[in-house]
Amino acid sequence: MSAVLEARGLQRRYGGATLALAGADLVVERGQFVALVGTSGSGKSTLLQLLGCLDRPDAGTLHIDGEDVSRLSDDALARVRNRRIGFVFQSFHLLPRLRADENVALPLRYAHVPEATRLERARELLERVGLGHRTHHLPGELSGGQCQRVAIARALVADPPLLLADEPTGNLDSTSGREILELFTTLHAEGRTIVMVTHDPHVASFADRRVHLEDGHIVRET
Amino acid sequence: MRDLIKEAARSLAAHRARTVLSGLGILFGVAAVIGILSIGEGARREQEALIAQLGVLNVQITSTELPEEKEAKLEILRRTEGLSTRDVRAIVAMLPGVEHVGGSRVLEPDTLFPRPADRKGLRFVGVDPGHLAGSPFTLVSGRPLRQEDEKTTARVALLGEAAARRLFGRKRALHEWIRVDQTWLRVVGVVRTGTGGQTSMEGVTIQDRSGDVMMPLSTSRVVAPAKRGKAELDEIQVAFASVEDVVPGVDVLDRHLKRRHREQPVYELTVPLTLIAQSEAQQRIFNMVMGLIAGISLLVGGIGIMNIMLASVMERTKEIAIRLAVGASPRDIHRLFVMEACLISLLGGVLGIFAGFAVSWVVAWFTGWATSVSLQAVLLATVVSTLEGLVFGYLPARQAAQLQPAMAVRL
Ligand SMILES: Nc1ncnc2c1ncn2[C@@H]1O[C@H](COP(=O)(O)OP(=O)(O)OP(=O)(O)O)[C@@H](O)[C@H]1O
Ligand SMILES: [Mg+2]
Repeated sequence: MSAVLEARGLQRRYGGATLALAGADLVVERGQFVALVGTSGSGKSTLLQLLGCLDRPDAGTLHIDGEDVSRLSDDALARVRNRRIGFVFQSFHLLPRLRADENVALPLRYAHVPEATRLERARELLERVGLGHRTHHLPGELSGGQCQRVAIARALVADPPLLLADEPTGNLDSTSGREILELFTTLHAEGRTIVMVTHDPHVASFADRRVHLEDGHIVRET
Repeated sequence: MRDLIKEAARSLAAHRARTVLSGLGILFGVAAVIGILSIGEGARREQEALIAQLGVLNVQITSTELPEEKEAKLEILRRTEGLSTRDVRAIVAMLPGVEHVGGSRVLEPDTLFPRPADRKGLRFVGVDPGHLAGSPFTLVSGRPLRQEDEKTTARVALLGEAAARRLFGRKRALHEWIRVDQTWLRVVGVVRTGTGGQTSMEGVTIQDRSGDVMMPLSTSRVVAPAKRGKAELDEIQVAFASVEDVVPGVDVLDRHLKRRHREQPVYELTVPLTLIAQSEAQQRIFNMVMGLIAGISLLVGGIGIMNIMLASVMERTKEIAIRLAVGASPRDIHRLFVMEACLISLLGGVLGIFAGFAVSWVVAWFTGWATSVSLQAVLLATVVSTLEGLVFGYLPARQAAQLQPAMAVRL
């Protein structure tokens, strides 16, 4: 069985000068919980974006679920994001005009799942993250912690093999942050593969592996 | 597709004011197009009515008023006595390609029976049957005037529909008697003329003939003998056999009449065919200019949509990035924006069609022009406005589709 994620020599250069990522190698096996840690500006987000196919590397190769995604067209890459990857952002990134269940169902809309089916599935997932009673609320009517749970439900709705999160607790108070962290550990316990960026050592302590970045290099792993 | 329309409609509904404003340009453009086409269509119908009234094959030679001033009047009368039956005979003799020629004179009787409440619109004319033959009348009842009536100075009259109504009200006019000054005439027929009302074209007023009380020319001389110092005939109508004969025929006719009347300004020629040609040319220019204006306003409307859509792409960068991040392809984003543009312009188009009807109605109300909105105009407006959405939505949509999903993380 191949790794869920296999990155070789990933490089990303912004503008002319800054080499935000200088050749990262990372293999993540199914069911692992990996934390990306490092100081601000060390290239954590840059790496996660490349892993999540939100961005293209300037050099290196990337296999997700065994498929080489380095040379896919924009439209094909969109399919990979849609089916293989669930992304959770620091500031939730919900669409403000869509209800919670509609936000969760959004990835399925681009997978051409019929509306009734996808809303039903969205409600199941909201149920799972403990928001079964908030399906018809708009993001503006939800707390930060609730918004992040909606976002997690959205990342899970297409049942992707890989879950990526960039400081998912960064915008939350400690209570909500703890709840979100619990949710991730539960998901990990159920066998999900998770890669999470964090600079909080406590959060990182829940992970199987801690990958340390410094100035665009992976320096060590603990 | 349903998802797409719903999404687009939803985001338009969320920015109602912006949607309406950006659709406004299209609305005005379409309203202008429909209004202009309706004026053109109305003018075309009016022309058809005119042809029905005067006939394209006819030419009218009308006596002009002689000058008031005595010296000048005598000067003219010394050289010519104005239009007369001799002109009619001369035209018959010299002009080829002529079907009918006939003169007519207008009477101004003092007394009348039955006495109508209002004499306005009534006209008493002695007509040569040759004059009538060329006129596009349709017989409602009875018979037309005939050559025998002229020969026998028959005491008969042919009424236009309006004249019959004026004189006899609801009563049947046929076979009734009327008295014009001292002469009794029997109504032998009623006719319907081309149109009702007076029309004017290229500055020439075209008299409605519906109020005419017509009698044979010879009979009219019994009713009222020719006056000295006034032309014998008020009008001569020449009916040509075919359209090709009209223009060259008019040339010959004019030259001939000029010579006969020693270059005196005693007559005027009215040629419906050239009037129509002139008015058609003017109509074409009008259509072109107005069409250009309408086209420009549609263009401006489209640019308005593009402008507002481009601003909206900027503003919705985050939304677009989120959609991309969860798996929308650039093509999905492109479609969303094109769909929004199409919905805006279609909405503007539909409202514009209603506004166009209003414009057409208002123009008709204020100018008295006949306007008419054709089905083609409505279809054209719908198609054009939808196409505008496709065309002017393209650039903003491309802009939106070129955004990168990585932006989502930064925002
Ligand atoms: N879009 C961009 N354009 C230019 N430079 C960028 C861009 N994104 C990131 N960088 C640069 O790349 C480097 C790595 O940034 P990155 O966001 O990956 O750091 P990070 O480890 O996520 O930091 P933080 O913990 O503060 O989020 C930084 O020096 C940053 O300034
Ligand atoms: Mg970061």
